[in-house]
Amino acid sequence: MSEHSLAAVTLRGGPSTEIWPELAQMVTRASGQPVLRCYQCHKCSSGCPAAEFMDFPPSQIVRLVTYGLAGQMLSCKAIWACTGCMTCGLRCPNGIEVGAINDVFKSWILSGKLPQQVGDKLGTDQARAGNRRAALFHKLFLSTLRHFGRMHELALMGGYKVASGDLLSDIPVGIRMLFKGKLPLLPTSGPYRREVAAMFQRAPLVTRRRLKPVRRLTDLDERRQGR
Amino acid sequence: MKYAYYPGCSLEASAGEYEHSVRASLAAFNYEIEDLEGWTCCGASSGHSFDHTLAMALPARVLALAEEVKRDVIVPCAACFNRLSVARYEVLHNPDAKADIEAVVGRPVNGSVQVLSPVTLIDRALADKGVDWQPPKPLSGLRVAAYYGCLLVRPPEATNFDHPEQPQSLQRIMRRLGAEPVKWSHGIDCCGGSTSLVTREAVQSMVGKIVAAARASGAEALVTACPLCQVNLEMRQTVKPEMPCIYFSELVGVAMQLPGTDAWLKQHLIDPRPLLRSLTLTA
Repeated sequence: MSEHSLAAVTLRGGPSTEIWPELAQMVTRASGQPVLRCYQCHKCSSGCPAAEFMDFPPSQIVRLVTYGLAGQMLSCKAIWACTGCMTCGLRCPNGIEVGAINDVFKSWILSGKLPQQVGDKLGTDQARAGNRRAALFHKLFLSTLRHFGRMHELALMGGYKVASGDLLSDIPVGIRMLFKGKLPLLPTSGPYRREVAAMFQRAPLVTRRRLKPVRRLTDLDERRQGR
Repeated sequence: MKYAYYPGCSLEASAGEYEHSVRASLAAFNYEIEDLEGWTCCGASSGHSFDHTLAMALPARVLALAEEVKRDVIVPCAACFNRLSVARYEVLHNPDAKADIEAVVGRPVNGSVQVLSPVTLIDRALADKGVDWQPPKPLSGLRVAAYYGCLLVRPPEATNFDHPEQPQSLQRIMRRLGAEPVKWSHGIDCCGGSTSLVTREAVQSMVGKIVAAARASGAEALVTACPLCQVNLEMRQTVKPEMPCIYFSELVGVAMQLPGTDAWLKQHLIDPRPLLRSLTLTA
């Protein structure tokens, strides 16, 4: 049996194990998932196609949240290994989709805005340690979208390859895709792209109104350095 | 009745063969479509990792455009289909979310139009054909594994597509076209497409399991309706011989002898034409 079958969460050295009791409620609100209903039946972990690549499989993710271990959540690799396939949500007897919980932590990290109570107790490095490459991919995806209003796959793939430093691995397949006409050189853009850029501006404000309070990661950095 | 058509970004680029074959297939079954004017990206695969409201607002803008022309919208890309369906579900069932979404989109969004996959429409059209109907070129001898992936079937309350664990629409289409869908276990498993660039080794393992399961059940090709799965399944196979992953609409093209079929099949990273030629399905 793999370690995934262990009911209890094994606490590893490293990230903060400080307990923040309100975490479960906050995540419930932000994700819309009834995390406190979990009774650890492990159907999510059994069916998760990415569980073998996770440090904490889905059932343990829910445990971390209910225990209030924000430090473990923000620094774990599992939230980035999640493919968002929603199999966990389909099979959960209590209607919890663990992917949506992962999304909450990813959005906290990607937007650089941790809820104040979480941020106060954690170093910002921890939140960024998880998976830089995945975070980079999402950021590039969103900035491409914000810029063009539609996705431009060549810009995304090329940009990711350059920025991640993982430049050589997919060159043969990339060249074949170019020659097959699968990666047009120019994006199709239009006047509507301004509308999309405006949505990017408005959306976080609306989200924040629903999920106050938040504080920017950079503010925390500066405070720690005594500036 | 005319439908609105939302191609999505992938169909303009990496899934060109899907774009052309879906349009031709819909036309072959007398569905009238009209492109949605001013469409934008639905934000699939990254939007929901960044901001919940934005992830709902991006597809909701597309819904709003379809509502303005009062047409049900056909969405070939499984990822777009999923995002639009989820946004529609939120708008219909969560008044708070509806207010947030409308504030961000800047247009009214009511969820009054349906979001449809071309799989459903082709399936319906074939069901209406009567039991004696046969396509001009039945796909005799072609054994395929119907692969749905995640985004068409989950979450079932929002996508309302087919049975969430045992969907049958692709198999029905294949059977009507004369092909033989195999019984297999991995039809709704995840191929890892959304993290294909980031966690390559993990995705190679996930793709490997799906292809091995298809081969073990006697299939010679995968059939899908998702452009993310299609590219990922062909790009991340590591074991030879490789198994092509064909869009269901391309096989509609082969069976209905639609013009342009060869040009679509040519665009694959794993060429399906030797297989189809060996069964004398294409010239």
